[in-house]
Amino acid sequence: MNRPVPRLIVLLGVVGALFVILPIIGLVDRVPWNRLGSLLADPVVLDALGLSLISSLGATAVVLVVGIPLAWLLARASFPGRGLLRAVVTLPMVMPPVVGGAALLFAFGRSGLVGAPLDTATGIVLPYSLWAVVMANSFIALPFLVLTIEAGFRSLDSRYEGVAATLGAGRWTVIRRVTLPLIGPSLATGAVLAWARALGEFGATVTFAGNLGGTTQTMPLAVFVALESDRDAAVALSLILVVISLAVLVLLRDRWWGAR
Amino acid sequence: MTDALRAEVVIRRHDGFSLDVAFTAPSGETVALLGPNGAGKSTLLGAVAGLVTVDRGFVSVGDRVLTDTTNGVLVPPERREMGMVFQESLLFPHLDVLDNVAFGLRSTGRSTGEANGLARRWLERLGVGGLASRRVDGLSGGEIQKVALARALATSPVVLLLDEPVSALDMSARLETRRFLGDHLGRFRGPRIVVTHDPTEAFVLADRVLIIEEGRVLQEGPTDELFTRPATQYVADLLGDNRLRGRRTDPTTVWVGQAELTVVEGQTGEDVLVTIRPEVISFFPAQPEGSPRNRWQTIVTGLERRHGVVRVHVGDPLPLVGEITPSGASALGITPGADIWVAIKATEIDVIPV
Repeated sequence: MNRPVPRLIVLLGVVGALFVILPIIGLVDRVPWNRLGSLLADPVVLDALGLSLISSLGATAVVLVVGIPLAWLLARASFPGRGLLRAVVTLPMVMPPVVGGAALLFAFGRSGLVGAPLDTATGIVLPYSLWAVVMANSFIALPFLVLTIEAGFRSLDSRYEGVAATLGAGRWTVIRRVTLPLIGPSLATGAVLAWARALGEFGATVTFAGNLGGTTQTMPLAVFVALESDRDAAVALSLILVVISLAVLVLLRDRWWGAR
Repeated sequence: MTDALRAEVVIRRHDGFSLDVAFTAPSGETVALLGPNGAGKSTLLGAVAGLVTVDRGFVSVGDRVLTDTTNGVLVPPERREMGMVFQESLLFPHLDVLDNVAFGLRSTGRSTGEANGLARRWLERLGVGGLASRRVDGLSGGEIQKVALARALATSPVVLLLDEPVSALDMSARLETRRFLGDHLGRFRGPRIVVTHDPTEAFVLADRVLIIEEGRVLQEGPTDELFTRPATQYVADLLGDNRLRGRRTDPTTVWVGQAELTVVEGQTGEDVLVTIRPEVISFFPAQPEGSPRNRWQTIVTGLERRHGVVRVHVGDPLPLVGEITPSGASALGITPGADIWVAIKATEIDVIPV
């Protein structure tokens, strides 16, 4: 039975779709195609692009190293306060990134909770450095990775690991040869989501790492600055970010969401 | 020669379920843990393998103590040398068949080449060498269980644990795989434990049977004895009536102990499982005339009334239980100790190869 779709639903749905599509068209429409090459070759743009790649990939590596164990604990271990821990880990995903940046500053800033003793002990000052960019990106990206991988751990039949153990595989062999390969799709999805989120990070970065060209000015920050000075450069930078985002979507769709 | 498995397991769960079972499985014998779903059989198996935490318990193979809660011994599963086969395909889906079988060998330190060579030989020994390079998700249920057995055997375990090894298979694959398991279990020299809810499976595969219900052993004993002399009505109901092990000596003859039965034609020389449903057994006061091929005189060893029928137990040469209506029973004048004639049509006797 195929009843006609109510017109109101069609109308509102189309409005919703246009709301997403029009800005993209507006952006593409403003691309100065003939100047695109020279705009993208601009040192400021190249610096921002390089910085963005380094910091976002660095953040992805950081969240993988700490996020997989964290997801494992949330999914597998049983301890008091686990629900609370999950809520806290999820927090960066829902709270305003600027607030996240401010919080990082209060913790790791020169006079912060951790930052002050760190400065006294080692002379290392984190804010307004590349490290700060990676930290801000990691802070915001972590929940995307942890929640995705935790779901992967939960849907994994733990008896596979039991079988592996009866076959003589020790704990680390089981993790390396059974657990991680079996949650491979979740790992990849989580990593890509985290990377994409890190790449687009603005609020926490600008608050905690500042906006120093060549040191902490990532692509999104460069776009924001360029909008004031050189609109064409802003458009070109934005175009790159949109293309990367589309590539991420296609990647995820073909490899992991294709079946649905 | 490896040694007997000894296990005493006590587990109390928060939901009120408790398991308290002790058993011994001698080397070279197959012990079936038989019971309904939820009886705790798989938990018991997991405790033996070290995969399930016990509250109190003792597990040993020969002199080697694997679990001993009083002395704080707990050998991890990877050092227990127990091969395990599960009901569902728990072959690693990210590895092909050969890598699945080689997994244990590689995990215990052998080189890839050596492990693959041994794995290939195990697959060939079990008659599935052709599957080596296949992906796991393309295998049939029967093939999966054969590969799973190869994987378990490849690490040369001292004990073999099988958890409902054929329950997930369809009827025809079940028969074939069960026979396959029977063959290969017979060649394995250590203790073999088979968990099952299917009496036929226990009957066919096991030398000894433990009947487990709600975490307790209801009865245990050698398979033939248990099936012929269930201790309680519950056990009798669980086992089903008149399951007998026999051998086909010519196409239409099966010998069960000292009784000769005429049956529907089949392959000579096979070990078979004979099942005779109680309602197909006819009783006569004197030698019956007519067509039934199987008839003999015996004595009534017991009578019971259940669910509106009278169950008649008869003795040698073939202890059986039959069912007749109460009016039929009084017309025949059946009483314990009375002489009686039994008749069963050849076509009513169910014979399956084991």
